Amino acid sequence: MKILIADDTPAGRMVLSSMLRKESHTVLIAEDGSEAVDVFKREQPEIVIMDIMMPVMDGYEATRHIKKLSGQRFVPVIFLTAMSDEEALVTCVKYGGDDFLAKPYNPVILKAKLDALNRIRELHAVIKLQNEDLTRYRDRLDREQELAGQILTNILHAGSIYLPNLKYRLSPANIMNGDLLFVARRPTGTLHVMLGDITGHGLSSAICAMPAAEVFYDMTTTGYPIGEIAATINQKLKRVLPVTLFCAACLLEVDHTSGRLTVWNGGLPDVLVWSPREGIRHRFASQHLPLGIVNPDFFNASIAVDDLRADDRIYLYTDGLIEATNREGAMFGQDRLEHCLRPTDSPDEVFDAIQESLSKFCGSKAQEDDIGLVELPYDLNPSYPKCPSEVPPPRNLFPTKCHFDVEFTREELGRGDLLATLTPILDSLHLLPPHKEAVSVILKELLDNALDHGVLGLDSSLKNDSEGFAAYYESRQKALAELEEGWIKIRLAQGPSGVGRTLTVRVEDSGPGFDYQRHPPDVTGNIGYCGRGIPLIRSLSKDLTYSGCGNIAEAAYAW
Amino acid sequence: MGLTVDATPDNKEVTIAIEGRFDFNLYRPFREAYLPHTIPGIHYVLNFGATDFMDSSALGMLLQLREHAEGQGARITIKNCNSTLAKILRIANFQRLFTIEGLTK
Repeated sequence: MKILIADDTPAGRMVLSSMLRKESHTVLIAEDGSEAVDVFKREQPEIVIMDIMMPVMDGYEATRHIKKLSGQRFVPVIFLTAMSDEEALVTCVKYGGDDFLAKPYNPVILKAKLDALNRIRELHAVIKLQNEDLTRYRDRLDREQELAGQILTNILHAGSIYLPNLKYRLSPANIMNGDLLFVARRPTGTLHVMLGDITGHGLSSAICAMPAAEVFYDMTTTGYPIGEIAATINQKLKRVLPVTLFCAACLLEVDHTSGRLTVWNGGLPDVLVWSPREGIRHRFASQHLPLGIVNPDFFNASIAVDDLRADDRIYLYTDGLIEATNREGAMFGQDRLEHCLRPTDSPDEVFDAIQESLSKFCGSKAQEDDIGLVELPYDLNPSYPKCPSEVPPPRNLFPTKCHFDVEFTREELGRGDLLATLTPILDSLHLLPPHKEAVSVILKELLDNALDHGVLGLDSSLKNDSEGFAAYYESRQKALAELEEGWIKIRLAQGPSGVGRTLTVRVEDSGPGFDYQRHPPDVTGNIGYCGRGIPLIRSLSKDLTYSGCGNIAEAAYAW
Repeated sequence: MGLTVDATPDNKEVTIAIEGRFDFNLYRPFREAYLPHTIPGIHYVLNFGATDFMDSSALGMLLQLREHAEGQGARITIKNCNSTLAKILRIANFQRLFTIEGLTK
């Protein structure tokens, strides 16, 4: 080792340096404290042996300097002292001394002390190195997480999460959020919302958000219903996720035309439908396993429905909210949440009241899990397609004149969403927004009428009785399952008309039709082919006519 | 807080009891509790009588045990859940994947 001896007495220096040289150490000499500091700076010795009383600068002061100069490095300083001087010992420690050596010097003791201090020094050096490694590693990890977090945010919020009335809180317990919220509209304008909670949090759980987001946005904008979207996300997550990871999720669809709320809840706490007058007036309990657990063959895409009223709000939240704990380890709990959801005159304050209640409860306790909370008012400024007259005609029309004929056979009718099947055809017409949305709405309403009332013969007045949509939906599912024969034919024809263009949507079904001459469907509201959709079709299309035995409806959309 | 493992003398039934919180901290102990006991047709019993709480990573650990058990033709029974645990398992609909005493399929 390289050892510095600071001693103003030549005899002392002599004795010590010969002892150390015998042990093959390299010895540096200083004759006072000030010189000791200079030599230390220049030579960087590994251990310092320091006399206390010296001219120019004493040993205490020199030690203070040396300790400051060595910074993070551990350089042991051994003071040369008389055993009897207790006060001097205390001062030595105060100035940073690590050990003492009493006169007369004993070579065995000196060697033992040097060995002991050297062990500590080496240990110190290793820890310092490891500490530097850890710090570098943590910095790099923080940087990477931050970047990944930004990328994820961009991917996850690719849709239209910005809705003026939608309130949400997603607070990451880590940089990366295990909770996810997707919002997008189907081509018909109905709103899809998905709140998900992936096992754990951090990078691995954030990664599974990506396939889920991709499927949700793609399928929603193509027009698929939530049950099928849930099935596809499940299939994808099942394939990519390790067995310990899954995604508890709720998908819901709000249809402002019909007032229908559709919910698929797999593993999230009760979705609450709330009204200012009644408080919580309906619950959608979790009916399914979370996404990413079961094989596609066993996946259950069945949904629950409810009818919404104008001032209803829907509350979605993750278990992080219910299970948030305070310092005493108690949980926020369902009761405290529902206490905030009592009837009230100021519905706009409910969302903040929940958050306040939560932060009051948790106090200064750090958040452990991701907390997700969403408030979705029913009257969400439905951005329905505007009337064609308000929109300037588009250019670049293609193709100039064409039509498509599609027939859905009985098998196809039972297989799922008809509109989603037609979306690629609509896409190929190259309609610009908002025409595409308007045509989608017309098509959807005509298809719904043709299937529900034409082929299945359901009575739309069912929707009006007390059981509402749930009963209607059930009888619809039953009728679909029992359907023996039936078909729907669709013709989409596009061509120039006057200065603009016209697209006619013709929907014919195998049903018995109705007496359209005696019961104009938009007047009575409850006979034959009417539903709440008819006024909407009328508001969008130039013309809606019935023919055949009342089983053919044709709407012309012009722009 | 902790985990204890008890096997019947014939090794046909292994009971894993968890005390306190069942969460990610038990990831390794939980795996090490059932992995050594892998004989075909074994019955894993999870005794949650002293378990206060489980989080979603615990649900993930149950799924991992289930995957392991399926490969062994083994059975799993979950018993003595308190109301909190029963609710967590119910929300996740785990009664469809596991035999949970007190929860109907």
